[in-house]
Amino acid sequence: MLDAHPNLTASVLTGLGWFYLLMFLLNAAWTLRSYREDGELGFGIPVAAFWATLSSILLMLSLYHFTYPPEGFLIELPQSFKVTFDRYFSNPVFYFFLSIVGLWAMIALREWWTKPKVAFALLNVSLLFMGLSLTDYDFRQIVGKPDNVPIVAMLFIVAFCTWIYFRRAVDNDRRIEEGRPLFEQEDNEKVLVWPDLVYTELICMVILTAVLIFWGIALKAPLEEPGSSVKTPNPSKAPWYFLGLQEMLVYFDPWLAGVVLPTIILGGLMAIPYIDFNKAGNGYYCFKQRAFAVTTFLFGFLPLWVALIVLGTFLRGPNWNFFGIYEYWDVHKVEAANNVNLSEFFWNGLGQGLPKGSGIGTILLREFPGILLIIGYFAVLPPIMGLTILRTYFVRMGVFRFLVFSNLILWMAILPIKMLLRWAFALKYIVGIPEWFFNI
Amino acid sequence: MPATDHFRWNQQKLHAVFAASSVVLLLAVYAMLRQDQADEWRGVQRNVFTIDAAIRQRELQKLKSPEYIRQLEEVESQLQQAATDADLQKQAKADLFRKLEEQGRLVESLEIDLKFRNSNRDEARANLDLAVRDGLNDIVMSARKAEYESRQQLCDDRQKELDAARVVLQTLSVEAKAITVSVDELEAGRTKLVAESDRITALLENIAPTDKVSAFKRALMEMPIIDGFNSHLKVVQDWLPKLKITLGMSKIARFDRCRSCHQNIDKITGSGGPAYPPGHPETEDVLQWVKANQYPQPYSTHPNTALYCTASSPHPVATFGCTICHDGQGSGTSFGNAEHTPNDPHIAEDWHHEYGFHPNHFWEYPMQPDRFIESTCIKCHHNVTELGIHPKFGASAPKVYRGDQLLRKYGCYGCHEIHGYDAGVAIGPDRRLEPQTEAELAKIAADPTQVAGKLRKVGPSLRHISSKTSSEFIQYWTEIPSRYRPSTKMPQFFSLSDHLGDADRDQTLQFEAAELAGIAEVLLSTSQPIDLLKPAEGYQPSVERGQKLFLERGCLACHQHSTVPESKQDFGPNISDIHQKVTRNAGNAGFSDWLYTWIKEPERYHKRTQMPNLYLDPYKDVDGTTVIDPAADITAFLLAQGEPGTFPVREVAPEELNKLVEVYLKKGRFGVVKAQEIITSRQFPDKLADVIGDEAVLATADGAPVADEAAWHKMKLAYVGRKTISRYGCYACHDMPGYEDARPIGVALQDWGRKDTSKLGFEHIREFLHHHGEPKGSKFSSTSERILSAHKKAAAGGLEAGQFSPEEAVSEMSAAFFYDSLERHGRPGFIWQKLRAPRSYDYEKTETKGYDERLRMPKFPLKEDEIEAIATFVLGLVAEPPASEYVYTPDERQKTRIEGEFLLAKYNCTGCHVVELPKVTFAADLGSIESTQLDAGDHPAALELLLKMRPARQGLTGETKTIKLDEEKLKLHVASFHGFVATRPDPEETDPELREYGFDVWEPVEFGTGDEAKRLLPGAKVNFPESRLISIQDARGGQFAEVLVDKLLTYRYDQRNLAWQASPPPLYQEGVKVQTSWLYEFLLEPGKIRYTTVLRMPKFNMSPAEAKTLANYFAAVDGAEFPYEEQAPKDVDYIESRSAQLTSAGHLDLGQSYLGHSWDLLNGPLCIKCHSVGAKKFKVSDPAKDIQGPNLVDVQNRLRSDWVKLWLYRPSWITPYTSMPVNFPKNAAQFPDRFKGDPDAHVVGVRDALMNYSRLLEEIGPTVYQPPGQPVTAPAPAAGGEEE
Repeated sequence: MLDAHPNLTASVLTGLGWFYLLMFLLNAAWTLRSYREDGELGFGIPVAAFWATLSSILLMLSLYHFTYPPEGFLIELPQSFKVTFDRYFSNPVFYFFLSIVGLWAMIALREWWTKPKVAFALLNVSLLFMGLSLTDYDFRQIVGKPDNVPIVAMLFIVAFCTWIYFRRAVDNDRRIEEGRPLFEQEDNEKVLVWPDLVYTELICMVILTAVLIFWGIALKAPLEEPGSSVKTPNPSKAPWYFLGLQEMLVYFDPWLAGVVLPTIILGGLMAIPYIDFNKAGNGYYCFKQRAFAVTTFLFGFLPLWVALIVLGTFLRGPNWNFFGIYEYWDVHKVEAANNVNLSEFFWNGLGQGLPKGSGIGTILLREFPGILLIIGYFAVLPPIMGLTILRTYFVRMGVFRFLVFSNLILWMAILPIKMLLRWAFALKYIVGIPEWFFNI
Repeated sequence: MPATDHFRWNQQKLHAVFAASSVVLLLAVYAMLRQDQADEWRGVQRNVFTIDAAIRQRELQKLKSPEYIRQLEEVESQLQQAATDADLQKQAKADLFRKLEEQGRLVESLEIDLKFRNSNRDEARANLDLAVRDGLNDIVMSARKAEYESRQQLCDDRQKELDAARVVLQTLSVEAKAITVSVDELEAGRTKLVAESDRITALLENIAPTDKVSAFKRALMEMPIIDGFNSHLKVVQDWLPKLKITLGMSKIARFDRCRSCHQNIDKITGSGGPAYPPGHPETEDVLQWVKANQYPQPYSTHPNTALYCTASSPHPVATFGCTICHDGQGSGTSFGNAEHTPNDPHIAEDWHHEYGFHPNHFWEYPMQPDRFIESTCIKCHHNVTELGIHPKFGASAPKVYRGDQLLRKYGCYGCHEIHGYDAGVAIGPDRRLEPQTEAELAKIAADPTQVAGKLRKVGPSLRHISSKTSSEFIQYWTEIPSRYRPSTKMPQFFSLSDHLGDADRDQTLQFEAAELAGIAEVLLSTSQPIDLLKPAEGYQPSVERGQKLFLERGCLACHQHSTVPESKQDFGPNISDIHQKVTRNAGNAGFSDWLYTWIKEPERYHKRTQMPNLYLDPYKDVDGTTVIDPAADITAFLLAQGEPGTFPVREVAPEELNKLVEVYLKKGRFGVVKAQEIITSRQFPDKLADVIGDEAVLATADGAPVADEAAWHKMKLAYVGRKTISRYGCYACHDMPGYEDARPIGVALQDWGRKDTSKLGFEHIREFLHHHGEPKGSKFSSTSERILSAHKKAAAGGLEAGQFSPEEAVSEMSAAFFYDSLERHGRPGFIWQKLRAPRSYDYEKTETKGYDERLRMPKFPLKEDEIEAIATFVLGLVAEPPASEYVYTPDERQKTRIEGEFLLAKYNCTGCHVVELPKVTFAADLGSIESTQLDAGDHPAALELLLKMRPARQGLTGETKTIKLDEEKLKLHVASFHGFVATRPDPEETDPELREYGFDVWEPVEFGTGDEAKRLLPGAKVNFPESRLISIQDARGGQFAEVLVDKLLTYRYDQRNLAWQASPPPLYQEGVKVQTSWLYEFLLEPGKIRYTTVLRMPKFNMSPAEAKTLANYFAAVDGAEFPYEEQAPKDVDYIESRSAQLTSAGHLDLGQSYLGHSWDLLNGPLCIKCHSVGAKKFKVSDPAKDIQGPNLVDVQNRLRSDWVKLWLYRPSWITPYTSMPVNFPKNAAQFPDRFKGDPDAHVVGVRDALMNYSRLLEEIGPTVYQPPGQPVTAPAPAAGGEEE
């Protein structure tokens, strides 16, 4: 009664009861499918038996949640787990590396995880993780916020769309290897506008409208305090689709993160058709024929965009501090954030201190290591790359296209590079000229 | 690839999916409408209609009494009869009506024809006029004229016919009416009879139609979408464009939709009572509510309709809305969205289950919980006073008023400025210190946008403290003031280290010892010298006499002392122990010149003191030789209460002092190394002349090191002392040399009620309260445990289930509320804990902050209910004044009242004087009350004058009370009157009927109305048994007078009347008694009026402006004229007309002087018995009995003429205890040769002579007048006279 932040309440348990009931129904349906399609585990036991067992466990779990009072309720994420999880896995470095590793695993293990069984198992694992985590008050606060519910949905939708892509791509890659016709050739998707296209669109519209109405009834618009120009909410967050950009503000000056980088992203996306010389993969799913393009896109989309939105939504709390998923969003949390410019590293490393003065010459002298590095990065790297690792690209693209291409790649890389430098060396700016509001 | 011609999807399946999805969409739409229809307010409004229908039904039921039904039946049968009668004359009637109709048609056709003819005539006339204008020839002219005339003829003919037809029609109508008249009359009677019933039925039909079509229409109007077109179920909205609300940064008009549910909030009955009395019925059945006539929220009427919501109240809901007072979200239409706030967490639980309530911290103006509802009053009522004292509404917001009083008592404003103005615009209550220096005063006076603060520092001046007490006492006292004086209002700054760890606590205590010694060092070293007064050389003060004088001279009006335990005044400190602390004279420990000076002339020691000058001048005793110095005697008495106190002080360890000096030096401009160097080398780096700030006390004039370690120690103490004084802001309450310009150290509070909670430092308070937080000796180990216990008890049924005592139910649930607020980081919780244990917010924080950064707020001796009152006041300080027309602006009289009340409190006038008499409420047996009869000596004119000056009050409250008497139940009226207790029941009497109270009534009061009414006049005695007494509401003020009267009766007087005459008089109806201008002068320079009193009105430290306000105040309260009033008898015209009047009545011969005769009356043998009059001194004939009355020369300037007249008629009607007799009774001709012996003319004459006293003394001079015949004797009681 006194705890203002209770982990378990009667209404939470009821909600989780429904959650597990839905999982049970999902698994029951899967069991049916498995019974029809999957073989045996051995000893005459069908694979479906495994799913049936899981389903019954889920049903019991559901009933337990429906019937048991919050006091003395046993199924709760242990505090030790939460603390450990928050301590070791909850920091932006780990999170970013995890997203990179995840991307790598997604590509490397694509044959395995695109199997429906595996995918369904993964779905079950993620749902169970969520169900258990929902017994934590702070997790619930942030995941259950009506604002954030669509982001949770987005996680599953992005996963599903990625899964569809990889499943089709793996299938087509195999077909190409085996010399069979592509899936798209075999399964002609051209249909009649009426009734196949418009009718289905109408049905989708109706269902979507109904879903939105139900959603609107169930989750009320999350109104916060009246807007005020003198009192900003803490944390102040951009709209969810811009949270990736906002995350960049941690590492870059606003003019870069807010102006230059978005412009380059938009320009770069528009340039793709003109840069792309690979004729393969047009009109069908594939991976092997476009491994570089797909990997680059997924890198830009998943870790650098979607993952940063998720980071911004769920893990950035008051004062834009990083919070573990089971951590209370305490406004008093302070993170040491004392960063140093490259020029300071350089001059102090030489043991002679920063050049003093505010003249143009002094400033340029002070910042010359960073300026050299940046010039080198954008001017020297492309020719070197063109002559070495990207030689084939350079040859097929020609000078101009290659320079545009290599620069776009370098701009994309600058974000993870800067992040790494920040984490490894507490580097603030490579070029830091606050006098001219010019910081890189 | 061409499209295939087969369908991709199975069409049947697709149809099925489409059908299913459509059904889902339909369900979604249904759910949406249903959700909309499920709005709480619709249900409430339906219930309201049900309630109203039930009430109407009940009214109908009530209306249809057997008598009513009989009357109705009678009328119906008469109507029936009339109809039958009419049937009999059917043929005749039909003929008549046919004729009437025909005639009507005829008239109509004639009228139409006449219209045509008239217009033809008009045309001809116009043609004729045109011909004249155009100068046409004669032929045309005459033709047109002829045409006009012929047409006019046609008109005239028709007019005649029409008139004739109308006459016939009139005759026929009269005939027809005669036939139907009886039926019409009966119909009218019936209509009148059923009017009320019809009205109610129509109302009922409107809300609960029996007619099927209406019922259908009503049901239809409740359907979704259709209900948007002026349905009977609709959101009710009060639009308040001028009462803006600040959302974000902008101010927008307020929309209060509260009445969507609270529909009956402003409904009153015809007699003004609530139409839906609030209550807490246990049942959910609305019909039961109607039956019990008790309604729960939101169906009930406002509990205080006299003040709120109704059109006749000062706050009609249509003008004020709801949220300006209650806060909350006016635009919300659900229980949650309206942001209701529970009064305690247990109610929150209930609401959570009932309405899904949860607090919404996003809305900045949650509704005020019951406990703070008064806090919003001060948004508009900046004076606050009228919320506690009001002639019509009484104490309408006692809690916030009390909070303000406490804030003023403890001087919170010394540290926390509460600025009532923003750029000259009033924004809230103004509670600030008055300007401390002449320069500041001049600056404010020169700036028209500035308003000076008005409040004095609450503590005594420390400017000359070295003459008053010792260093040890200063340290001992400052450390824990309540140790020396438990009732002190001085807060505790030191030894508040319960929240610290052991090591930290030891260190803190060491530092505090240095700080205390430092404060004493600073105070004593800067103390300014003062010339103390001394009693006359060789005067031997008497302790015994001192004790009596201490009692009689009014010290106890403000102070308590252990020798007089029955006196409970606490305006000044309890001085029982003053002998311990004051410095006594060297060589004469029995006396203290300081105390003598302070008692005799307080202003000498403290220029702004509130202690008045009591005129304790030496006088000669009754024997005429012994000189008595009352101040010296009282001093001796106070000192004789015991030995001087010894005050242990904490030892200052030199190394700890050094550490502390280092802390502060580091804080200045010195690093650790330099600071340590200064300390060890005893040398400050700068010369004295170059140092500003507290460091100056460490510097020497030549910059050389201090040679003497002891001197250096003192300098360090002074340094630490100065730092400590600045840190704790001692000057907020005390006048201290050198700190005149210092600014308040605390947070300004004028907008604290809206302070952003993220700016409040809650720190580790939750952890603190989990382990600590309750005082030693509490049954709980921590506040958290206490609250948990309260929750458990509340959940187990609370007060009703006997879990709490009534006091606990309030205090524990109040604590639970604040604790909950604290948990949620709310302002109320913060202020609660801040006042309970101010330093607890430093829990576990002291380790990581410097010693000088610790919290400074001291602990005040406040009880939890006092904390709540203060919180109510402070939370109301929001600096959001509504539009000026909403801000309470009192009229001149009311403003004077408010300002006067402020001064009444400031100078503790009520310590001595009763300003409102006790109110006695009892169950009156009206039959046994006897009206006061006029006796033979009373003048009818006197009664008239009395009732004009003091109109009789209605004593019946309208309530009744059932009293059990000898097993018989008596239903008696509850009545009240103002007066004093004369006798109390004998404590040894056991028969309840004989345990009687006796009272002196002080006002004209009536019980009942009309001829039956019983009327009591002032001076009447009322006796009744104790069992009839309902309550005696204490007098406002005058407790000292009452104590003094009781005391005087033990040794000086044997009659209560005489004791009262010796005590401070009640200021009852002072306004109609004295002249305002005289009172003004008197307050500034009080002269001696009465010879009967044992003490004199003291001289207060009052400004002329204050005296003016206070003088006006009394007139304002009593409805008298102010600041100027006309005293007619001083007017020459009046004297002439009075003279003429008496001459024509034969009372005065032509040529005789009216005033001359009146002067004779005054100088006759009556007045001189008690008063000095006409340059003749009053002579004492019997010292034991004779008492001198006041000097009559003052009457003309002091008293109002009407009052003097009434006083001369019958003094006891004004002051029942007076000894002044009725000198001119109606039935005795005292001076037959003056005004023909008419006593009435004598009264007026004496009054007029008194009002022209100086003039007559100048013009006529001393006069001896002896009436013919018997020597005059005034009726008993002749001895003495309290008044003129």
